[in-house]
Amino acid sequence: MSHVCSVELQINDIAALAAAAKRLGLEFRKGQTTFRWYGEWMDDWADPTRAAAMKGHDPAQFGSCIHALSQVKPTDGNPYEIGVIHSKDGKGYELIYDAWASGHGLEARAGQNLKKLRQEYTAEVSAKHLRKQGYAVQRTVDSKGNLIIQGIKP
Amino acid sequence: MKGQRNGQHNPGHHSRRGGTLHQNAGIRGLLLPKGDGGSGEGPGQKDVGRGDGRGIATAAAAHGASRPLTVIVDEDGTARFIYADAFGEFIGQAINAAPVRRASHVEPTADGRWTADMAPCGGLVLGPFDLRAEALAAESEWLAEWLLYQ
Repeated sequence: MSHVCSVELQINDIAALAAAAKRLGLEFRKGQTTFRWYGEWMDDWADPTRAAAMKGHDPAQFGSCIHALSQVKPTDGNPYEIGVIHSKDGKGYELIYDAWASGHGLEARAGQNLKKLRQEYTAEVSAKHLRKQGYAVQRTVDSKGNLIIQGIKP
Repeated sequence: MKGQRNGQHNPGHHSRRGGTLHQNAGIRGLLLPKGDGGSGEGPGQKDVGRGDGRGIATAAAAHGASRPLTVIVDEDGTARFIYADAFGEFIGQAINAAPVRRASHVEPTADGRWTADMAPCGGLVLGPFDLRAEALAAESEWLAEWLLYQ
């Protein structure tokens, strides 16, 4: 089945996305113009908060992207991928993937709605900016699973 | 610093240096001072923001203090932070703009001293302090702890 999900995260820093993906066992594949999914839009998902087709994405474009994130050493025999696409508003990029069967391993790595990837991306952008400002960066995880990024002046 | 904490202690406070810290859920992000704490809207107002999955931000060497700049990224990608001008570009370009909410108010008292009202974060009024700088420092210290214990 096809449950193509678009994710509410505007990506402005592709390098940070690639770094975040790597932490989760995903490989950034620059210039890969297709991502693995069910392959056919079945029009069988009416979740207005998740279904890409209900959020303004053209199902005819499902499977197309400008970069892709692929599972490293997948355990699923049919590992789906995440597509990186241009945002509808033309600013930055968005993520899109087929969430059927939890994306055949994708959500185990990146979380439902890719929330782990969102978290890692935000943390990467934070750390990158702090380093740019001359801070030494420390990263820790607290008991709630929050990522804590701290910048300390050398 | 001569400031005293006003008001009643609330459940969930942590003692610290003779004062209290309040844990408060609800406000998810923090944007803090522009310059020395003034937001341009009044004396020493601070702003609270939220980066909900799209947003980010951080932290606080507010008032020139050497406190580490801290970004706390929740599991859903929400980021909490105390705003500093150095992060303007970060917020504006690296991520989407985060909504901004007031975190506190530093105000003069009738007798010429200063208080830091942390009510927007669910906290108490800190002070009064003899110097505005003292109120700003107490405000920043309180918010930095509050951020970590959310």
